[in-house]
Amino acid sequence: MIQNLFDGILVGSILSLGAIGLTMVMHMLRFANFSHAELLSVGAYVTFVFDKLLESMVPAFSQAFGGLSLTFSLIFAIILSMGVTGVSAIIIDWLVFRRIRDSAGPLSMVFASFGVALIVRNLISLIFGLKPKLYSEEITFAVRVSLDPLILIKLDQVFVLCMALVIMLIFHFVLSRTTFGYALKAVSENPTLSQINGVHLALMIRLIWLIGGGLAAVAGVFYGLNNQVSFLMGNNLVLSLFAAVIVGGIGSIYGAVVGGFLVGLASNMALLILPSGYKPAVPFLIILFILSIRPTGLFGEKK
Amino acid sequence: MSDTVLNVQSLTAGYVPGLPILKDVNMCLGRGEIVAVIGPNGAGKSTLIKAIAGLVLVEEGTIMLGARNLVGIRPDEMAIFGIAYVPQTNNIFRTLTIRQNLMLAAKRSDGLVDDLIERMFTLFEILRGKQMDKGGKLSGGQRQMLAIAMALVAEPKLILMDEPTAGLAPKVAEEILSLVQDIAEKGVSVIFVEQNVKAALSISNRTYVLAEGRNQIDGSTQELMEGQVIKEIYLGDRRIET
Amino acid sequence: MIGIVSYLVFFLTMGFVMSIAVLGLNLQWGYTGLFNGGVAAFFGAGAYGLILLGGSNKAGQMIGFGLPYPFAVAGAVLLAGLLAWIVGLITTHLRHDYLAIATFGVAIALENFARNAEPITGGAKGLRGFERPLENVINDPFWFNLAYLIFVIVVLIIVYNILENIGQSPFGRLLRAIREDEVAAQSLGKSPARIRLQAFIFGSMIMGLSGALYATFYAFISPQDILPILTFQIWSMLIVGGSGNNKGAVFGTLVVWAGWVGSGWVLTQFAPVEMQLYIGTIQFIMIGLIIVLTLLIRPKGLLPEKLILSRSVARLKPE
Repeated sequence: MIQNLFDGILVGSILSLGAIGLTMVMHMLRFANFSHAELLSVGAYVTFVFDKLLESMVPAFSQAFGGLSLTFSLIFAIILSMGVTGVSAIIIDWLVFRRIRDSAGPLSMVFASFGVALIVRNLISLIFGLKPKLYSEEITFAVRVSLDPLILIKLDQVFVLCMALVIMLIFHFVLSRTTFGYALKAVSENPTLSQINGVHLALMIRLIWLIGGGLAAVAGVFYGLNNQVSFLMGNNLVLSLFAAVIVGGIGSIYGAVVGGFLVGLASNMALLILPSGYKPAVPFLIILFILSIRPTGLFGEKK
Repeated sequence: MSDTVLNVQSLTAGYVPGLPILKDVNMCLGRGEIVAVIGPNGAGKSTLIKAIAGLVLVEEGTIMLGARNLVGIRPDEMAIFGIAYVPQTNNIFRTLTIRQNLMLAAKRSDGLVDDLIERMFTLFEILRGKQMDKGGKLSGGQRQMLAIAMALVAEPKLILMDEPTAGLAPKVAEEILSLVQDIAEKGVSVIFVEQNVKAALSISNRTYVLAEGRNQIDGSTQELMEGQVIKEIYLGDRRIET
Repeated sequence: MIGIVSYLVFFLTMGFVMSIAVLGLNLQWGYTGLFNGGVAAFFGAGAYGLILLGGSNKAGQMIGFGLPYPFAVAGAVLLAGLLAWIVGLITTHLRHDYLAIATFGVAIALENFARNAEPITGGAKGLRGFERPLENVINDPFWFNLAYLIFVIVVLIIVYNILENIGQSPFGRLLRAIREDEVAAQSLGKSPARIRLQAFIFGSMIMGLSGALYATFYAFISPQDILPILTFQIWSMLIVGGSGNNKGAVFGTLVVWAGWVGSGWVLTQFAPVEMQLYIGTIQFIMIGLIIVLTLLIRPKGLLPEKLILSRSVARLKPE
């Protein structure tokens, strides 16, 4: 059971990072973005490409840090990928969503996001193939933390958890102590008033896509480190990400973090009673549950 | 008029293209002047100042700030031209603290944020003690003071206020009105919309009466108060031109 | 010659079966403005329901009630309706994208359930043991398929007419009113949430009917038949035809279905061997492009919704 707990926290940290971007977009642009989960895939694959590229250019970079799959080239690759993924998110908005929200309603954007998700996911599969990839061909061994109950923890997993928490702390710092963070919260609460107070709305929206994309990239890489990099990553995570956002309350960044952990924990703890084949259905049950008792989520505001 | 700061000419504007609320409205404002905009409900008073603030679609006419036409400028750019706007409702951020509200608003100006905020706290002592409280915790009067502080903190040359005394206790309302006079004395021009005619006339230099989206009558407050027109409109004898 | 006709019969049968589902979606989206992100679930409920209720208890399976065909179909449709009722009750009174997410989720959950609950659903192997009605009477496959095609067309015409009548009735006006301006509709004393729920359930039942007809044809159902891509196919069929428009829905279905089948054939014939694995991938991209491009270029679809004169007004038109 402790193993489930740990796995749940680990998955939860990944979901939290992915959910932050999703909750911001769902709140600001008022549509359920089914293509957000694909940004995790994009981030993971772009990182893969940069990683291999950097390794071949500077062999020294393939030196791994003791016990981890993490190499210098991977670190740089992640940073580059955050930028690329963030920019892709802006471009997709510019190409597709912006035009539709100007001419049609928010549901058309949900629609379009389905189409975008299909295209992105299958393009990735066309380019990179159907077989999943790994960042490191070397096998990292799990540390046996305890024998009875059996608890196995890979160093990579500890790293992912720590990094995710660090990133969330940085985000918290930005939100609570920088003017940019205030502007982000302001735009979320009252877009018109924030314009009156000097915030350039269109720019903020672009930044929201950028940040959401960047965080998604990190989440995707962490997921890839923990499992594997596959074109189905977005497909596997989309429902859990929505569950995290809904549990936390649409528009609440802290809610997204809490929601991510709750969904991750619930999905893994459910394995104690459900056969593992049913795991993909758990986020759906969570969504139904929350929507029946508290539709605005834990931190959401009543409209 | 000394030193015209703002000149609104033939303004036709509204929220939906083709359905203007303001029709052919004219107005001008001098440096350090206080101009009141009064009129019945639905007259377009709020729409007028929203149009100046860049929040409403302008179909025809100009809003000249010196040699510059403000029509088409984004609302977030208005601070560059020294224009600040205090909306009637939802005018502060409830999820931010007083200090954070002011820090965000102060970003619009070039000055040192801490100094600017300090000046606001000197003006509104009561906000100083509560600066770490979230906006949602403030009383109506305190919220209004914060909203005005957010407009003032960026050192504007022109302030637009939408019913600044609405819903406030009489004593607080008086403080606000007296504050507006102080601001004007320092050279800041003020346009404010008011439902409370007495309050409006008590501090304004000039007054515009709007009804059904058009100018009805305007002039120096002194003259208007001596004349019959305002009495007639507000006591219901005279019909409004449309 | 027989081969081509046979194929055409198959093509049209599948096309018309799917167009029934598209009509159900049109009731939800075109008439009522509801976003059903999990069409596959209600289609699947109908399909599985039919096999479970109408199939006989063959070796290895726990369930197979062996009901007569009409009852099996009715049961399948009701099953789809029940599923819609559960999901709809929780979500139709909420923000619109909650319904999208919840229905998307129910489709994933249903496919997951179908894949895992082997004693009930046959698991990944699927369910067999269904005997197609009248198959022992009409022995020849060609004539049977033809007869079935006619049967499907009859059902389609019935469903089409029911929906057209709804569209022009007071209930239809109410649906459109709720779609356009919920607050105004509320002031008329009708509960928008309840009406939306009714439309959602009814539309889902039509999708269940489509699933039942599909399962009848193949006498087999498996989780592979209710994958998410089905939802997207049905959606693209609706968008291409023009939402709010029943004629367009059927037309769009045949166009997209032809495109799907045609592209599959072209790719199989001409794609290099290494690419054969990716035929599905390319087709999925095509569906995605259809959805996105149609929304960008022609948000109202190919056959835009005509102003529907309700019957009473039409009668007032001068002779």
